[in-house]
Amino acid sequence: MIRIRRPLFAALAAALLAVALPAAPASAASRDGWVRLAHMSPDTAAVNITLSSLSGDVTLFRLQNVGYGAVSKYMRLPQGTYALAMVPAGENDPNATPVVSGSVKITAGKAETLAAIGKNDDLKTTVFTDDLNTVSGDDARVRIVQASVTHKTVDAKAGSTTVASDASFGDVSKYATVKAGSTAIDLSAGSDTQTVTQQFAAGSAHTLFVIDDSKGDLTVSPALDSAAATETPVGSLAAGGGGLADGTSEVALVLAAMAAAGGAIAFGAMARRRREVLGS
Amino acid sequence: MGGGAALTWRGVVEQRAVAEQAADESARIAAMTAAERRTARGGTDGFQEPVVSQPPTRSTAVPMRVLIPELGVDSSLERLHQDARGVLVAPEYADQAGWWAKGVVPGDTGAAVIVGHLDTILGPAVFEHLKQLRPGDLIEVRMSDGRTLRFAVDGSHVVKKALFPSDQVYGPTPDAQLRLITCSEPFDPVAHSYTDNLVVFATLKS
Repeated sequence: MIRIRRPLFAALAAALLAVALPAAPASAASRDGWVRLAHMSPDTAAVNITLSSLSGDVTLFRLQNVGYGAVSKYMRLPQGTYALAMVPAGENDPNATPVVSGSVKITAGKAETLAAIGKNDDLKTTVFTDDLNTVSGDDARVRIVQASVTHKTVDAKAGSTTVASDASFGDVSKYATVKAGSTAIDLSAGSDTQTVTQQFAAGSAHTLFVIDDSKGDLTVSPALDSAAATETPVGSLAAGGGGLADGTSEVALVLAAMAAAGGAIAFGAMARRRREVLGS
Repeated sequence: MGGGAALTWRGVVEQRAVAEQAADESARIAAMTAAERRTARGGTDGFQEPVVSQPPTRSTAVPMRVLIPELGVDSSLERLHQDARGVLVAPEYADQAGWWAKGVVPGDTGAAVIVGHLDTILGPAVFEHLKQLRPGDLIEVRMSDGRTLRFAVDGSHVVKKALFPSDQVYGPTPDAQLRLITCSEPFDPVAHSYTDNLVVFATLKS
């Protein structure tokens, strides 16, 4: 194979079309989706979590020692329904009765969160879908999950933007669009108020789990749902000159002849223009 | 007939066994004190302080090389930028791929973008054989902080340049992904340009 190092002969590159682009689901290249797991039960010790096929025959993921407040990374799975079981982290018996179990349906190109919420004697699982939509410009998106067991309803604001009003236990708010950067999150439940500062990168989406600290005060456990570059390049890429294409060998021949005949000067002259022509 | 009856009988026996097991379990739990039950369920005395981790910020490392063992590709990476109209400008050299520097850093959540040429008018370029990549194939990215990130190919799409699927290529992802982009046939001899792009989708291996 020829491995030449020279500027591309981009004077021949065609103009790119800057057209309106159709919306498409994220990562349509496969039939996979994602799930992550969250432990939001304040009086449940660390758990081991297994994610398996519905029949229980095949264990797909096993997470060790997941503590209160923790949110796992996303795990990628083929479309389908899966079973989840949480057992106390110290429990070595593989047949131990789970602290809580549940199931989650994975859809291609979608991301889900399965959270265990509630006090230990009333633990339940809840599943909700996470945001993979494009966030424009300098914005970020944020929502809350009301998982506090000591506050009946919670209000949440990000700066001056209302994220949730009167959210009940187990509620998942809609995403609110906020300016990227450092943002004060104000939580209030009656006279009980707390402010926590969060960093939101442009182009990203976040979930804030509203939970209780060891004193029973409101706090949040933040999780990044998705991220992208802050801007999207326009159109496609011009990344070929045609030397491998059928029916263009005469071009190469002409060029070879030019080079042999001292055409290198002309080549150099065009090469210096490459900056101007490559983007066109 | 006999086989069917036996199967049904076995089913009944199994159901009974399961029911007995469940009853035993209920009896065991019922016999426990509240404290024992709490311990068995992993309960704690009072509330714990939550484990809270802040979402990661943009990595300060940058990708230095891309390696595709399957194709014998081992290329340093130039920094790619957009032109005044926002179009991502392809690498300057045929034998060197480039990373879109304003985009996602490989290994961070989101889709990092690496572009390489298929060919020049004279012959093949760095991503000549990209279309041969198959799901599961390995792509390595060497980072400036010494890390080697390993991505596995999820699949490839050949897309019309005029209908370039920006959302799929650049849109938000919940995990750390990589896109390799080059040109794809057919070649338009009048426009002296390939009409399609090949996009390889890959995900960071954990």
